[in-house]
Amino acid sequence: MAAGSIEIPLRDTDEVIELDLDQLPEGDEVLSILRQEVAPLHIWVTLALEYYKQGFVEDFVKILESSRTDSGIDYQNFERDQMQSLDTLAAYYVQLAHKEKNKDTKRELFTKATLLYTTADKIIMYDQNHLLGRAYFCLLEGDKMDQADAQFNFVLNQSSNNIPSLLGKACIAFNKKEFRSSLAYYKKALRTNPNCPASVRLGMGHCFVKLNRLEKARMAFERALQLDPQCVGALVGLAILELNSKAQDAIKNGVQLLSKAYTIDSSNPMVLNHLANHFFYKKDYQKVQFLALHAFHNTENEAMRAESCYQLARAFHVQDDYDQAFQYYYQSTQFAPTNFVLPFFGLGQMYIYRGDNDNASQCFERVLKAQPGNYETMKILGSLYSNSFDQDKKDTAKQHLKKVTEQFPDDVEAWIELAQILEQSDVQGALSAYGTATRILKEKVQADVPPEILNNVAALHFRLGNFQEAKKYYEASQERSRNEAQHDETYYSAISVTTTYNLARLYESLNEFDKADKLYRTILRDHPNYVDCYLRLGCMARDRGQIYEASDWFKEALQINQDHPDAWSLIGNLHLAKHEWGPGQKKFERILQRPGTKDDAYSLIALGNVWLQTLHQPMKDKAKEKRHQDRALAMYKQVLRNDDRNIWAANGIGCVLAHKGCVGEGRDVFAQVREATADFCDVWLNIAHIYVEQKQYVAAVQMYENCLKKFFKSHNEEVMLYLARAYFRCGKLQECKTVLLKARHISPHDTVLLYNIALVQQKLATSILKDEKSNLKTVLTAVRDLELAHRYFSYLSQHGDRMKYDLNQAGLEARNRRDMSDSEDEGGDRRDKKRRKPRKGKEGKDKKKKEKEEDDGLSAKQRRKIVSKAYISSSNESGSEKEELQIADDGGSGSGSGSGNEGVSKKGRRIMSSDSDSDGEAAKSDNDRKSGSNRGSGSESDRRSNKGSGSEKGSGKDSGSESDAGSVKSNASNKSNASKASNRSAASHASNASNRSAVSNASNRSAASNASNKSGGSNASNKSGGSPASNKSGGSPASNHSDNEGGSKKGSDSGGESPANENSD
Amino acid sequence: MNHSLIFKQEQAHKDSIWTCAWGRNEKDGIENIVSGSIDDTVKVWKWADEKLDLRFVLEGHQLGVISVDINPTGTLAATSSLDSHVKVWDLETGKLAKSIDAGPVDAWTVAFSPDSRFLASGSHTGKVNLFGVDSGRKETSMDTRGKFTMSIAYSPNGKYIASGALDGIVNVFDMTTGKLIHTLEGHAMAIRSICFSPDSQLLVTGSDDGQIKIYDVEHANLAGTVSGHGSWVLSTAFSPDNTHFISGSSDKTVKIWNAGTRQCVHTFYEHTDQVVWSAKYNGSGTRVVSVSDDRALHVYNCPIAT
Repeated sequence: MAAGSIEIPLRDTDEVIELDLDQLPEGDEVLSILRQEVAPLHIWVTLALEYYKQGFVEDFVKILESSRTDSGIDYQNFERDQMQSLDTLAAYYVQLAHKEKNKDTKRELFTKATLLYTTADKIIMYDQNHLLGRAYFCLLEGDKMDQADAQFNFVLNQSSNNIPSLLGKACIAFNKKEFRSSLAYYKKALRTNPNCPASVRLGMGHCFVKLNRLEKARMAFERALQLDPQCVGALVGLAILELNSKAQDAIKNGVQLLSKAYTIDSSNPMVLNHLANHFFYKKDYQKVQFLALHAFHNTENEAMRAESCYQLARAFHVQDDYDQAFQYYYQSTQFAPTNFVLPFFGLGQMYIYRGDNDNASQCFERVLKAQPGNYETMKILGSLYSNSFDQDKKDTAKQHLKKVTEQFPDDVEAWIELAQILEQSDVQGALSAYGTATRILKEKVQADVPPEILNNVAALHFRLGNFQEAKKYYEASQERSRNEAQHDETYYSAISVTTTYNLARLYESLNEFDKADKLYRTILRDHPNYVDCYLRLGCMARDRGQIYEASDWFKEALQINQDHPDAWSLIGNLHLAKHEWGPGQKKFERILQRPGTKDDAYSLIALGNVWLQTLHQPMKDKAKEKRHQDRALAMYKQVLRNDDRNIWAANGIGCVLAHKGCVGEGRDVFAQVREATADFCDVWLNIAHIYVEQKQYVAAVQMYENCLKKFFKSHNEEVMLYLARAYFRCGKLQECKTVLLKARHISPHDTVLLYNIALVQQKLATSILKDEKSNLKTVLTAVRDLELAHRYFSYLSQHGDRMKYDLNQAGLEARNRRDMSDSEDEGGDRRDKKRRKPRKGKEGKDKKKKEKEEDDGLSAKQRRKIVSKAYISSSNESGSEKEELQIADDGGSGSGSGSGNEGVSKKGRRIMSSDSDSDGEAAKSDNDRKSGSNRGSGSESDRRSNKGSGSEKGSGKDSGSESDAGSVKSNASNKSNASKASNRSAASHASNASNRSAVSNASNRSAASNASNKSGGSNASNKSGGSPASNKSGGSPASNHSDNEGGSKKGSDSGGESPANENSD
Repeated sequence: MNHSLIFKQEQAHKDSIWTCAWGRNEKDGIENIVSGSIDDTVKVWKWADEKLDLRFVLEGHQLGVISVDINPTGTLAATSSLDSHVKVWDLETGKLAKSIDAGPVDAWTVAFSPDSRFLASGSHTGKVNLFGVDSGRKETSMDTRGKFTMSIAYSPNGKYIASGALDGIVNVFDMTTGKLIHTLEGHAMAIRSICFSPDSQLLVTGSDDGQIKIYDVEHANLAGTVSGHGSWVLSTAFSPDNTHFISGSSDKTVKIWNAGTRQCVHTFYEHTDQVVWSAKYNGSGTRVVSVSDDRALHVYNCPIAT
């Protein structure tokens, strides 16, 4: 057989038809000849391959198809040819299937191939080429890599240098990411056959890329191109190498290579995607869309599709078309292999934009899982989680942000975010984080510190009690706001209002009420809807004792928002303070009737306290008493159901327990509450009462004294009375008298004190007189004391307060007194009697100090009373202070959240502006991105507020709802939240107050976080893959990634091709 | 010299010191500081050479000494105690000059009239009683028709008596007619301290609401409100310079104010952790004495220029 021709033997003769390979006739003509002559199969096959090589694929198929039935197979070893015929055709179908995009057609083709291979199996199962064909088939069919691997191994066992097997193994190894062994297989193949096709070089090139031996990779790609100038894979590979080098020229080269590849194969999805990527950076989004879409339609490969979708999504993202972007990101994530996380990143951003932070954080978690330590992701997750109610998530956020700041100590945003998280738990830490941020801003970015941050720093100082520092920062913040006002007046005036409010709160804490008053009124002049100002003004009036004015202010607040729970609470508290239980109760019930505040812990506790208070009066009706106990209990329990850490509710339950006589249990409850916080005066008192109950007077005295010192600036007559009682009961009459005198000095009009003083005086004098060793002077003093006591008793018997003690008893005492002084030296028993009498008197009557005496019931009463009363007082004092502080913060944050409330667009704007101001990085980023990210930040802030409240105190359950309500209004309203809290707290029940405050904190936080929001915003923008920012970080992974894609693809491609080649060879 | 603590008498009394007064005896030129405590004693100290020397311990009160006043010539001191006894002491000899029993509850804080002939004191029923220093008897009684009178002040020109009540109401009587001429409702909480300026034009009130109000006496106009104390204002006293006044508070501080600008000029934090019950100027307005629950008696330097 001559090289250039094929001879077809003619049937039944020795003649042949010689076909010149250079001038092959029409396929049909040949086919008919072959049929006619029943040519031996091997001739069919040879011819078919010839046609294939010359590009007449149809003829190739036709001939092979016909060969199965029409060829002559009556010669030796015809099976081999049969095999070749079947395998070749099958391989062809496989190849076709591989290229086919239509799934159905693809499956059809695969079925055809399977059929052929199965037929072939029956002929010679272990034919090498057959096995190879099957192996490649497995490979291309996908997910049958192990099967393919087994077949290659089988072949290699038979002939260790079988090139197709080597290539197949290389391919498999590549896909399994065993690049080194993949490279080894390729090299072996190359050694065996130095003339291997370009695709072998291509595969090697990809391996080199993977092994990060970029020069080698480049050489491999170039060699592949020499062998096959049309090799698209090599072009793309080179292009990517060029692009990744990031040099101006290199990028140009890369793009040229890509466009060359494009001209060769305009439907190669890899090329299209890379081009799309390129045009993305060129900001030619139309082209990106076109190319990516094209790529998408030209591939069935899911990874490639993911890439295309991602490109599309990114383009839409940048163009602010978030709906489309969301769609494509989402689609991309559906297609994406596990290590392609960029679409998740984008999708996460879209979720943030939509306010769906749960889904967003899931997306970013995916990213972080794939790329642990990715700092942008950690930053985003940090800010997402920092809004979470879940303490664990918050801790995660803290960790993420800490890591970020460790890795990038110059990242201002991360510092700010971190500071914001720390605000809730670690004020000092937050301050130092802000300090770092400020320093970076000043030194590295050369930017002015934004007013929000100044405000937040001030708020933190405020919380720490560094009032002068706080003032400095507030004033600096105002100054900055004024300077920035020209950029965005609404925004900065909003900040300024918040800061002013905070400053006013600060003045309150500095006791400079006149200044605070002025500031609040100033705010109200421009923002008459700033409810918190009304509330604060009301609270200040209340604290001055100007109850009617206070009430007017609170009603003023209700004009703005008739369901404002804090305003109602404050009014309710005014009633309760005046013992107007009914009206007070109604106010709190009103709050609970509103669906938004139906679980308002403050109101529930207030109502519980009202019921508790009823128990202070001695009740004859046991059933009624029981009912009231149960009602109080029910209220407290409801609070605890919503918030099992609410100390006020717990305290209330302790009181009910004590009242029921379960003193031990009550004490346990109080002890726990006391452990939870040292700043809750009621519980100190209650514990002290229990000590009295249990006759541990020394402990009780200590507790009362500490309580006085800690909470009341030592002048609360009620607590002093308790203290005196404890002294009295443990027989320390002199101390008792001193305490009573001090109390009387403070409240000279209180006749109960007078009565008690008389009583103690009398008792003291009696014992002195009884004492034989008393000297003249003390005896004389004692006599005078007795006279005085007598005077008091007789005065009281006429002028005393009938409601507070038994006047008859006073009269009786007066008479006793006379007896006493008259007949001083009467028998001891007389004195005894006297002594006893006073005692009795106490028991029966004087309610106050002697309440203790009255019986356990009374003391319990007292306790209860204390509870409710104590609330009030504590709220005034310590409670309010504390809360205020927090509140102040809140106020700060309030502004932030306030902004959040406003239209999304607004938020966006704000953030943007702040970005540009504050962080240099952010400045780089495009507006587009920003908007997306801003959004995110906006939502964050909202969240934050909620969260904040929750976190502050266990109690602040309702904060969430609160803040919401607040948010409805603009900035002003937000702030009001904060203030509310404070107001309330101040108002009355400490517990309530604190709850509220907690609430407000949250909202404040959000305000505080304004700054952070911004920063968050900028973060987001950086993060968003869409932009230059992404170039840096996001970008490179992406390109790598696509490399991957290309690589694996190539591998498989080449694999697919090679069998065909092989066969044909 | 700045505002500073220049002398500190620790343990001046056995327990809380509730009241003090500073007066220069015109006869012997001795600077007397008188302090009264819950320990029932009144102590007379001599301020000389920038230090205190105890001159007399005056005994006889029962139930704590709540107020002290020294007459304008510095020869007599009047004290009152919780048992409603008023005593007048001769500051040269330390002898009891007069003891007045005002009944069970009919005396509270006391103030000398400028001519030293009368002592004014408030009462439980809101009355202002005038006791004759010589007679030792209640000479006049004026009714505010209000609540418990906690504080009282005689104007230096002798024309007015002002009283502050438990409910925050201030009443001003014209002493020439004995009539109530003004009722000022600026505060809503107890007024524990009230004082006139040396020219009798201004009236300063300190209240439990933490605020201090300044009134123009003649027209009963509120001239201003200053705030800065974090708790009850327990004492106020005008400086002889007619411009400044001091206040003591249960927030543990002593503040010096400028009545014209209504700004706080200085704050003394020297009484740590204890209520400051009383603070008074010396005759030239260069020194201030303060007493507190911490049983200490402080003397501060107080430059007039500020």
